[in-house]
Amino acid sequence: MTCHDDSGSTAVRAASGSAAPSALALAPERTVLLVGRPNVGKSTLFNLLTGAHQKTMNVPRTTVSIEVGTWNISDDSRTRITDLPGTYSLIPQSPDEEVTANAVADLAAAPGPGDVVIVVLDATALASSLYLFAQVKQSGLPVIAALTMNDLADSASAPVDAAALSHAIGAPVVSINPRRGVGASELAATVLAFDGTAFDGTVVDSTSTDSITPQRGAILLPGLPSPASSLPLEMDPDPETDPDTAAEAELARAHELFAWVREVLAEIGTSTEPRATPSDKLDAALLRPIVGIPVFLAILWATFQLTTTISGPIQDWFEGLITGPVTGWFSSFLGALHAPSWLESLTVNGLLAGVGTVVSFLPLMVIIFTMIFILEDSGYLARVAVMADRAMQSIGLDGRAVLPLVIGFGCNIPALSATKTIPDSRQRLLTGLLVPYSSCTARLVIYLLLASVFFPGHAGTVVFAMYVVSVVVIVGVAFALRKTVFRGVIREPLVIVLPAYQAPRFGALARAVALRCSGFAKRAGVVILGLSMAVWVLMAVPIDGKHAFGDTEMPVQSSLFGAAADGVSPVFAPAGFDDWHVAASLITGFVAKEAVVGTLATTYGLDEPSDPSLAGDLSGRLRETFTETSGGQPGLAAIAFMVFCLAYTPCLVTVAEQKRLFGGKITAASVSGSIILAWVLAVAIFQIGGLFA
Amino acid sequence: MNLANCPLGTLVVITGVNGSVAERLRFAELGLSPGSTAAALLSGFGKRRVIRLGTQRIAFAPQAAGKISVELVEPETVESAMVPAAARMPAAPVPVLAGH
Repeated sequence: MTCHDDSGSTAVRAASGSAAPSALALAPERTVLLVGRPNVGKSTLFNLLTGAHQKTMNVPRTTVSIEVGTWNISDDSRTRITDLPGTYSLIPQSPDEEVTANAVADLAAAPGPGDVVIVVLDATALASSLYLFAQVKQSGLPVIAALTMNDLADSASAPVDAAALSHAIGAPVVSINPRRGVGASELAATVLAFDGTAFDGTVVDSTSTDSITPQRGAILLPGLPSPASSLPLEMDPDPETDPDTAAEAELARAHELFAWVREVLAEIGTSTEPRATPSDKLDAALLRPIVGIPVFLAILWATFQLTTTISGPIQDWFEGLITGPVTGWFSSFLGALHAPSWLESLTVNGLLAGVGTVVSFLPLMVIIFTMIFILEDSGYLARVAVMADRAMQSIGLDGRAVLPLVIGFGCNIPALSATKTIPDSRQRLLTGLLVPYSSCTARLVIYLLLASVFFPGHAGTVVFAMYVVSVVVIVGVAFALRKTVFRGVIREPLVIVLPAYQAPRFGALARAVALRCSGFAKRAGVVILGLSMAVWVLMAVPIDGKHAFGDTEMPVQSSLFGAAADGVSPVFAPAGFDDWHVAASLITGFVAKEAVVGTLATTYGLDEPSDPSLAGDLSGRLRETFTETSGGQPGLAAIAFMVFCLAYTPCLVTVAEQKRLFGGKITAASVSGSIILAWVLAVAIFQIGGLFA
Repeated sequence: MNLANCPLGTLVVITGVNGSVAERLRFAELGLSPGSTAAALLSGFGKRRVIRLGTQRIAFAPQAAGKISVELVEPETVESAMVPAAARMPAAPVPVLAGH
């Protein structure tokens, strides 16, 4: 067995203590850990108990994120509560499971008065839930069982008698339905009344020398790498313990615990007789390719449409609201105060532009979070993992990665959010690093412009080819990452417990969507505002000595932004487009790909074409520029430019969302990696293509 | 015979679990241990299988299902919704679903 002296769990407790400080009129008095298998409704319960008093945090030195919050358990008592990653066992086989196991181990090592673990049991799959419960119980911690999905078990004629279960497992059992908002007060009353001794030792002897004593760190299991081997966790091997022996001992203990589980099931009379449940009937259709594939494609299409066609006008309306009436009001207000022009420009073009970006993306986030919640909560997403497993396995990804990668062709931001549906943090990160290479619709405008200017008559083929290139880049980057930084991540053959299907509930959906949108606005919004202001400063600082700071009439080339574009442009000489107009468009393209065409037009002193395929004067100027910079091979340079636009950072909102999900260091690596890859691809296309031109 | 190739809709008893200790441990944690009974309900999408284990439904890639050795217990009539009618026709070999 190995151990290490610092991991996420210490941080779990420390962070949980600082959760939602503004909500804490009273200091938290106890710690509650929420433990359960994946897909048992744990997060829905957490949302119900904490409301808005929660936040997401990344466990230090891992890619695992957890939710911590404050549960107002009574009028005069507050509780720190942590929603730990779903796990099948306290013997971890992944970083996510390790965080959960360590959190339980830490609490068991130094429990405070009133501290308790709530193990969420799935009534439709009680056996494996009880196995996890038994492990937690054997840790010696006070444990309360929260029984979910009993309504579904009832509909399958296999309801669980909570009282009988409580007697059998020697712990309080609270039947809850967090999706309907049922059971929170009963759970609170049970936690407040439970002193942790009333049920001890009834079934699982926590004092037995054979009982599991959770250890920090993971057992090294032959056949699998250490859960931490691909992550920067420091694992100090324990020379006194043979991994084979330890693992065999755990295997023997697993069989013993499951024998106990079978006794419990027999005692409470849970039916295990074969009968088709409503979920079986749905699966018989949805997990057959002839039905399942069309339904899956229809859901993907609907999600794609919702995040593009449907959300587009709504986003435009919000953006128009900010850039129209709101901006007008602020301009009038500042004018009435005789504020300097730079302040008005800063407010309108910096601050309000950033706020407008955040606000305009909120409807999109509402749509995608709603879709994600419905797919997760209904149980369908677990089936997606099965259906797409074969295709995604070929590039070493979880089957659920297909959803974000496809959504990414509409917009990368909701696609990144959709990576949250992937339970394994390493797979989630790998997918999150691939999403920016999905060619979103914002890039389409660039392709249309360049293709119509340089390949008239073949524009459609060129645009289609760009989408093929996008898929090739995704596959190529996936292989490259799997062979390098993710080489320790073994893609295990699929084994997944399928939750029963259930109809999503509006209350739980509204809570989850509101919380996730709030998290996006708070955490991504800061980054978006910061970058928006930085771009404004570049545009506002004059370098020619003829204009004042923030002069709204200043030409782009007279600003620091223009100078930066001019300074950067030689970098693109090997790719055939070393021109400051083009470089300026790539810089604003970092903010939003929609800005590329507009910047090209602005820097040439032209109006942005309303239809990019009818570029008018801009067409001629682009042909001149690319012909000059490419040495007479404008088409090749245009292809290199389009591929660069495909591969480099999609937009600053994507950067903000990546930072929110994966942290600053990983985001910095992703952004710089994509820029380098984009440059290499563009140069390769221009140089190699030039050999055949 | 193993869970990857046992007939659909028949009750089987697990006789052995192969693989690394880690794999066997994870199978055991799901209740897949010698002596347990299960039934394969569905097969599709590259021979991925859904099995019934007690009240649980577990989906397996063929590489994982192939590590669980089983023996037939007895023919079991599974309700029509769970297995295509063709799979229950007595005169024909039990087929798996299309799309493998």
